[in-house]
Amino acid sequence: MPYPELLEYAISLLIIASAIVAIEVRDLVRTAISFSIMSIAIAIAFYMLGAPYVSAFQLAVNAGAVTVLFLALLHVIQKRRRS
Amino acid sequence: MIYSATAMALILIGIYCIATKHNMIKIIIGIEIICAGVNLNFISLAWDGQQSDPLASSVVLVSIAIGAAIAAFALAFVMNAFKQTGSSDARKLRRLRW
Amino acid sequence: MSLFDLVLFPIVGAAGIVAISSVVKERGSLFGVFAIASLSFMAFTLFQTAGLIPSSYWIEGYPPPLGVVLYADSFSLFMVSLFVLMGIIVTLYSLKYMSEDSGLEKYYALLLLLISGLTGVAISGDLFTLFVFWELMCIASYALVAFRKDRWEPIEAGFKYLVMSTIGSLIALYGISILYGMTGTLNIAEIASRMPSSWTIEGYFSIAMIISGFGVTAAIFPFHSWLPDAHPAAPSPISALLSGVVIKAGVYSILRVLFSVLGPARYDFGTMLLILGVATMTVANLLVFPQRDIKRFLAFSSIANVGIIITAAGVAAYVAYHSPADIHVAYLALAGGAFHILNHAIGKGLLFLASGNFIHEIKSRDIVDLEGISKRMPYSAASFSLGALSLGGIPPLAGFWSKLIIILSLLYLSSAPLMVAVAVIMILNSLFSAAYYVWLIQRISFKPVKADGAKEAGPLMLVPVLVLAVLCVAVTLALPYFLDIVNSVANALLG
Repeated sequence: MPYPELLEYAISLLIIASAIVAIEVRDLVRTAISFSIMSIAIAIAFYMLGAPYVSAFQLAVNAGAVTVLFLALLHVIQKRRRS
Repeated sequence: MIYSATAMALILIGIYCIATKHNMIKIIIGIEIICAGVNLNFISLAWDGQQSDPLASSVVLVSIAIGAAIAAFALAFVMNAFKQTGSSDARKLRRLRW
Repeated sequence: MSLFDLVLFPIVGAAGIVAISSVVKERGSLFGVFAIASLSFMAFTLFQTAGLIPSSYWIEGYPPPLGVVLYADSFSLFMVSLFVLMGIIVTLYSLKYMSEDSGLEKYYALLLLLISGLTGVAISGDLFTLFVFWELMCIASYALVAFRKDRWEPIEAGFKYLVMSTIGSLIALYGISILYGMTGTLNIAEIASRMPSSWTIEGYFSIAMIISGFGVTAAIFPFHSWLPDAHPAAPSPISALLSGVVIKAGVYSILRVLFSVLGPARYDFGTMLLILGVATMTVANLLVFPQRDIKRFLAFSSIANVGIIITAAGVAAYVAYHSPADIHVAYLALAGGAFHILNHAIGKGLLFLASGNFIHEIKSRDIVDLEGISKRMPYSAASFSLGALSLGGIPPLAGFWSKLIIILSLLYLSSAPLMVAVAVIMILNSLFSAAYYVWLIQRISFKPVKADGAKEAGPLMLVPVLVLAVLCVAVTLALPYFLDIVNSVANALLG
């Protein structure tokens, strides 16, 4: 099996595994982090498929902004629950 | 081809998540997973082995932005629901039933 | 003046409202007047465009098939004129109805964005532009459903609407991506010409994805469950807009993609649409009757009417695929479906606005509390009855003629047993819907008065209702003129 194809399989596996972890894990912070890992893996896939701009945008928006948004909401919710 | 299969798997995972999970944040994660799957499918169909079609790139750029907008919007809903019930459990919202 | 101005005016209006609101606070009606003004500019542009169809326009830079293309034929203009008409009437109605709420600059800005998204869906010439405007429309309508966010029901219904509708639009985008994979382009005319001439399995897969994706917003049977929650939870003018035109945008997208892109002669989606349409109207009609909440009652009736429109489209597609010799029947069925879109938009808008008058007065949505209200609010109740009779299909009002055209087109094909079965079910459904609308009118008009203190609504809330009631009658009186219009719609879809 040539090398890039193996890499494609590995990245697909990483995407699916982190997606499953993201929805199955109980702790919501880990959900958000796992979602971020999935987004990074998808960004790598975009890069390998010849779309570097989309890859950068995916890193910035999905792996960055959306994850931070989730974490911020979790933080607010936890703060309110404590008070 | 591999990535198209991955995209389909992601869409199925997302639908499964929305159908079975009760936490509103998990439901939104499910939506985002579906969105990522659709984007991956577009890019993987644009790849012909040597180069990628720029049309699909421009489509996916806008689509990622739309996905982020929807996530932000849905999280605002969660915030409002949390203000009213003190929990992010969608079962508390199920008076209307899916 | 070009097609682009049609979507530009409401967006500029929305931005203008937000800009003004930073200077002038707490002047809700000013924003409303501003919104009406920008919608009027849009209507003016529409009149200028109407003579030029079919026309297309592309945003500077890339010509089609690469660039962003806007394209209007008579079906698009038919839908856009409905959107603008309902938009102006609903904004006028909101001036008084929403005057006690706060945050009205957001309300009117979102209303304009909703109209802009709807218009963009109707005039987009490539599938991705359609999707972008679709999401603009969807996000604006989620926000409008949950506009009274300090209450419980709107948040709950809005979240449910958001989840279901977003999955639907993403699934539709998946279907679009498969079409892209088949042909390598997203332009509607280009896809249609590059499509393989015989059917393929990917084609059917994308048909299934697109019907179920856009079908969520159109409230087709297995995906309808958000509608009876979201439409009652929204403020009444928004319910009128959602039931009147937003679900029609879903129907429009389904018809546009199936008929203009995939082509009824290549793919046999007629049977699929027929089954979905019949199931939708039967299930919804059975669920209408037990409702006690008047807005839920009307919402279920909207689902039933979408079923009728989908059935009409199904007949057309079935004929075009199975017996091309009878193609005139397909034109007849599609014309009936388009006419029903018009009748349902006007009739259901009228019903929701008139019931908004009742709700504003007696603060209850229970049909029992509304009994005998016609003695206190005669004009609203008379308009309500007119709309109910039209949608119930009582001759000679317009709703009767559109249903009659669809049933006639079914009976033309009486050699096919499927068509006869559909015709029988559809006639039974029409009788049933006539029965429950007459029952509703009887509750509202002839029972002893429950709400004694109720007074007739003020002129700002009465005028839009009366205008819609007059339109309801006018469509009946000018029947030949409107039949010409829907005929050209059918021609635009079937080519």
